[in-house]
Amino acid sequence: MYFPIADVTISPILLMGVGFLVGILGGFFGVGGGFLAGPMMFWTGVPMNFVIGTDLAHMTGKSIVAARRHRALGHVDIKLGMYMVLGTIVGVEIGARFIEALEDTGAIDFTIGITYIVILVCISIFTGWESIRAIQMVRTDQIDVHDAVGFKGLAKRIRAVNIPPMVSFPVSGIESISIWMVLGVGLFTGLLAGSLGVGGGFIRMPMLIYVLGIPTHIAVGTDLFEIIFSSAFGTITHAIKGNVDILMALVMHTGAAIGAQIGATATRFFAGPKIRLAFSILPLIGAVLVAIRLLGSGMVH
Amino acid sequence: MKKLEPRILFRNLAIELIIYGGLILAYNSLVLRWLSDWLLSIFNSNLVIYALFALGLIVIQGVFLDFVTSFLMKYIKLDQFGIRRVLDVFSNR
Repeated sequence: MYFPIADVTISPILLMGVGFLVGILGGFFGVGGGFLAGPMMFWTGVPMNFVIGTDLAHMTGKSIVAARRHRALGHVDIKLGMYMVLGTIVGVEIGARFIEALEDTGAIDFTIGITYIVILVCISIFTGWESIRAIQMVRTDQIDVHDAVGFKGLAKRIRAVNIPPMVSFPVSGIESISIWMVLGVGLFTGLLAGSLGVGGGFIRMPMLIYVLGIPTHIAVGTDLFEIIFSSAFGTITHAIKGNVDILMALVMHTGAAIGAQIGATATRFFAGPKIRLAFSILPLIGAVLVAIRLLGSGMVH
Repeated sequence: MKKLEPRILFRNLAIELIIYGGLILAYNSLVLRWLSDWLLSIFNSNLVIYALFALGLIVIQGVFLDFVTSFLMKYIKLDQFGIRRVLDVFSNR
């Protein structure tokens, strides 16, 4: 099929297949899936300058579909999501400017790449360790699987911070928390996302669970809700630069929308620790893809 | 949300996805058939308008088609009765 905007011919079945796969992952884990969709789109023949923008456009639609499905399941805390959006937008902007300032120093791509790999591997190890611990706690201590989190210390300390104004998030089961802690988490994840040039869903999802103490299912749904805004913002900025082929994004979204609904519905049948254990593999895949890109570009000898 | 048996939930989901998939394919076909050349021309002439239309098209695909699907699902009352209700609806016509 010929896509006149990107001036390229690509099989629509292949694009729908990529969208479907990334849609299932996005709906189930609450991530945008750009770290996986990007290389796969490039592999199908999408020109490099259209990869990120087109991926963001399809991600916007996919996140809307998945977040709506999660909302129907009671997994979206809209109030928390809106606060997080505020912090994230500011963080992304600071991160992007920080990178611009560092670009003059040279070797920035290598530094970002290595930082990215380290963060992804740390998230993967930590989430894997915690979820296995939580699963063991359920087996040995006979506690409710919904309360099973193998690492609660940080969330308890964060909730104990008493800097006004205090807000409550009944959907997430938070009676009182300092607004600055919520904005801070949004800012931090936005800063990382802006610095590393990624959407940041796989950073935000664990942060919501381990730092704010949000239940896993609500973290997944709320993360997707936030991705709607961040990817819509990214779509506009990339489209203005001429990096979005909307026809290609619509074809991708055909598969992604179906996959996202399946992924989101599947979360009903898995307890939090099992979702987190499966999630722990995702950042490792992302790290391997970045390492391959660094090796391929000749930055690592 | 009312708890449904996994078997009924899967069946409802499958029917919903068939409806949604049909709508999304029809929408894509219309956009590719009728708007493709026009989108290319605004891409080449005004990127700001192109950006707004690009976002609009993807949001419509996400929100509007999902809304239509939900409406159709409610119309055939699939949430309460499963596929038998669908068959009743069609057999009464």
